[in-house]
Amino acid sequence: MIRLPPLRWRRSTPDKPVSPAAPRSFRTLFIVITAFLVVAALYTSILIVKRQQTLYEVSRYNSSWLLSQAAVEVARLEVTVAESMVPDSGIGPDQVQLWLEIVENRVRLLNSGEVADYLKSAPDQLVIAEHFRRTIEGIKPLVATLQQPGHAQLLLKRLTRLNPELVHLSSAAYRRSGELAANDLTQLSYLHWIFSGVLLALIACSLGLILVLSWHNRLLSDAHDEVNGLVKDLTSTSKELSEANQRAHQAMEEVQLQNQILKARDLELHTQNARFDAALNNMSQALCMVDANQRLIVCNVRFLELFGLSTGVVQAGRRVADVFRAMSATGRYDAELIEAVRVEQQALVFAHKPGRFMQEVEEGPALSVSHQPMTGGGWVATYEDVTERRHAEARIHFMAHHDALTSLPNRVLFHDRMEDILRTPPRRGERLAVLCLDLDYFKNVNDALGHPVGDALLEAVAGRLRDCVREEDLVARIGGDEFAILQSSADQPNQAEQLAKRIVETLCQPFDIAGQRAIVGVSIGIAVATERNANADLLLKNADMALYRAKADGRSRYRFFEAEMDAQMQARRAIELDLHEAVNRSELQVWYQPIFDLVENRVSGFEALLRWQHRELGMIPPAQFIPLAEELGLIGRIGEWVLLQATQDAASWPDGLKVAVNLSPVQIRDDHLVLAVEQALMRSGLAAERLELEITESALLQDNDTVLATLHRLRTLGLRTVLDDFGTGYSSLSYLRSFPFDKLKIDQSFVREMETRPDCRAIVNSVADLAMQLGITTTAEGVETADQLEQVRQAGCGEAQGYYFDGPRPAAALGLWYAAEKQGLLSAAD
Amino acid sequence: MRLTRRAVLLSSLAASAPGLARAAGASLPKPQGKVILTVSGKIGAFNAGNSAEFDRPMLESFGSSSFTTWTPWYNDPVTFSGLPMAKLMHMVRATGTSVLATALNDYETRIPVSDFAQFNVLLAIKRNGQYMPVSDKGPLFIVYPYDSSPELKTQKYYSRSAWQLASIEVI
Repeated sequence: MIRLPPLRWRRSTPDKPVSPAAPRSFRTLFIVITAFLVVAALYTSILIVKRQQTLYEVSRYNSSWLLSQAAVEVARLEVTVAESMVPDSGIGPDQVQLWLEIVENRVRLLNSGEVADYLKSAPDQLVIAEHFRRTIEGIKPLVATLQQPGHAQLLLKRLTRLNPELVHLSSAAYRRSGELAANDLTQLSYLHWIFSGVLLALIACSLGLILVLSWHNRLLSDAHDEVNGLVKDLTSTSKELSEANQRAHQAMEEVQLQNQILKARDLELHTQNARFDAALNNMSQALCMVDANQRLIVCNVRFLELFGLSTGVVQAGRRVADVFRAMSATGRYDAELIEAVRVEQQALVFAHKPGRFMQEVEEGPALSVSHQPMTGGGWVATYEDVTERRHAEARIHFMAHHDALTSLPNRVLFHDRMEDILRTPPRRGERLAVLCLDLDYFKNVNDALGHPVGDALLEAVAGRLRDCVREEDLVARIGGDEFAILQSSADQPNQAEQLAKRIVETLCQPFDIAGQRAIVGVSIGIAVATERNANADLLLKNADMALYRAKADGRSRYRFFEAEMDAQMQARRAIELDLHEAVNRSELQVWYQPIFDLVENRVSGFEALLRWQHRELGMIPPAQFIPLAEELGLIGRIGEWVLLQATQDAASWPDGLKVAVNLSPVQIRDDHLVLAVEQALMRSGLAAERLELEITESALLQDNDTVLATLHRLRTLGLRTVLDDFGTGYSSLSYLRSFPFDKLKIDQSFVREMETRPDCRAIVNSVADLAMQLGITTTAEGVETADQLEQVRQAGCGEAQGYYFDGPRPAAALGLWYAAEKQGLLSAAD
Repeated sequence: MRLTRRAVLLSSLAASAPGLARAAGASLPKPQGKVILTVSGKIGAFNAGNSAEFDRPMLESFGSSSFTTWTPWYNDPVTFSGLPMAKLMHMVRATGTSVLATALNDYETRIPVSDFAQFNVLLAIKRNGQYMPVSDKGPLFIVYPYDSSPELKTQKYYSRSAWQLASIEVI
């Protein structure tokens, strides 16, 4: 079968329209023709078989010949019989017998097989055949007896009768075979015609088939062309598609890239949003953002919290005015405060300007607002509750300007206020007076009764001072026990004097502090502003100088500043400056005063005493410059220098002579002291037991624990500690128990008056006795006479010191002095 | 009978040793009984001048073969037995390609020698185990095994089937 290609494709331009019915009809036609061909072929086959059969019929056994031979053989028998009758013919009875048998054979042939069948179909011929058989049967005896006369004739006669019958038989057979042949021929002819017809039909079919096939081919060719065209179209289309695909792919890639970028941006946006949210909601400030139409865009959680708003009330799109209304309604803040904020912000909105402002209720909540316009007309603002901060600021401001203890203005505020007053032009001849106050003996009260009492006293003093001044005057605490007052008045200096008098009087009255009585006094220095000295610092300095004078004049009094005070002060300042230089200029010297051992009757050592040989002023006494050095913070440096100098000097001394070095209270409180002592010992090479450190009672009054620890550490170095000037301060015997002293020195004021005053002698005696009890050596200071020496010796003092032995001498003079005086001193002691 | 036995012996010799038979002379033993077949023409074995004559025992001595077939002449199938024609041709050393068979009634038919081997043509001596008299197509009848091929059931081969065979001339 030929498969038709499915003609599905169509050219886009149908120049040759093909009916869709054509292939179908073609197919039907093809099938019909093919079927017909098959039928024709089959029929031809059948025809051929038929023809074969017919031909077979023709060629089958021909009985006519067999029948015809019967007549011939009978005739041959007759002839043989006849010849046998002819003498010498050579034909004997054998021959006759042979031919009889041959004829018999023919009879048999007619009575069996196909010939018999044939004869049965023709009764007249069957009669003849039967006659023939009977005749031959009948002549058999005659043949046997042929030699007998007449038999041969009879035989011939009988046989001759058979001749026409047998000829009839053979002719009938011949006729029949002719008919059969004609029949066969007719049939064959018929078959031939049919065959020819079929053949013609076959040829026609073939032609038809060829036509159909050629048509089909044409169709195929068309289809092929069409397909080619389509393929071409498809190819170009495919190419276009491929290009389009490529473009699409590129576009896709671009889209993917864009997508990726978008995704990344999305992620970024998301992240930023999250960050923004986080930032927004983690802000400590409340924030709200508003658009150009004054409608809310966003606000953070803090905003809601701050104003006590619920999310339902404040949603994006709400009018700002409503939001402010809601803010007022919650009552978290005063409605006035919110309104003030709104008004101020509205002004900024109209002005389209950024701004920071704070709104607060007096002594109440405070809101700090930062307003920032946005491009496009909106704005963003942050709100912060600064109440705490404001209060803290106020507190800090107050603390910065007031004394914590008395709540009086401090030095800063005092100074500021003073400058303010001086800056403003005075009214109606008003002048400013500055009063500097210093409590007398406050230190003693503080030391004796303790700091809490001291503090309470200061508060009480502050109270009294407040009572003394007018409302417009300013009382300030500018130091530990220092106060200052500003007083503006047209009647100066009278008013200032009145005030000073009042204060001195008031403060002299005893104080009752928690059941304890405390008495202090006050010294007051007054400076009144003139046009010349309208300067805060100068005024204060002047008042200070006046105070100095008041103190110097015996305390509990007031002094006005005078010009000569300034000169004195200038001189003091010059000394201060010189003291700085003195250390560098080696104007300081260490002198030594001998200490006499009353038990061993010999000089046991020397006390190192600092001397300042001023290049212009000459020798300046220690009492004058040591406090100054302490005040100027030079004492540490000077003290170290003395320590080193003394140990170095002493290291060269013979006979294990000791050196005693005085430590100022400032030094003893310095952590650096122990190290300085160690270094001095190390650098000088002086044995520690040859060093004595003298500490005054006043040094023990403050920071007891620190001093105690320092003393213990010093003693562990191996040196000895000495309590100096015992009896001048509080002379607390508890010191002797608490502090590890090896020696105490009885102040010279007792020794000097031992001869005249029994109480002094009693004190010296009892102190020496007590010290002896405690195992502590005593040194009597200020022994100037032999009587005094004798008395201290009797009192039980172990050592003595004073001009009786010798005054202080420079180190350089010491060697000579020691060699020359040793003997003399010893004898003097005796 | 003695002679017959000798002839049998000779013929068997000739049959078993062709070369010997040929050497024994291109001659066949003489028939002892009534001659029923004369073979002449292009043959190489003789016993009567240029021809070979055979009585029934001689023919039977050459061997026997048989088949049963339908024929146009009998109503029933018939079993023929006798000497294969190919055998006869061998015995007389026939060199021709066809034979002319003549019957007692002078019927003549020409048969290609090739038929004998191709169709196993039999020179029948017996029919259904009985010798055939002249009155019933005897004594010799050339028959084809008609049932073995439709081709044989045609006038062509029926005409070659000669009964009452008397002589054969190899051409």
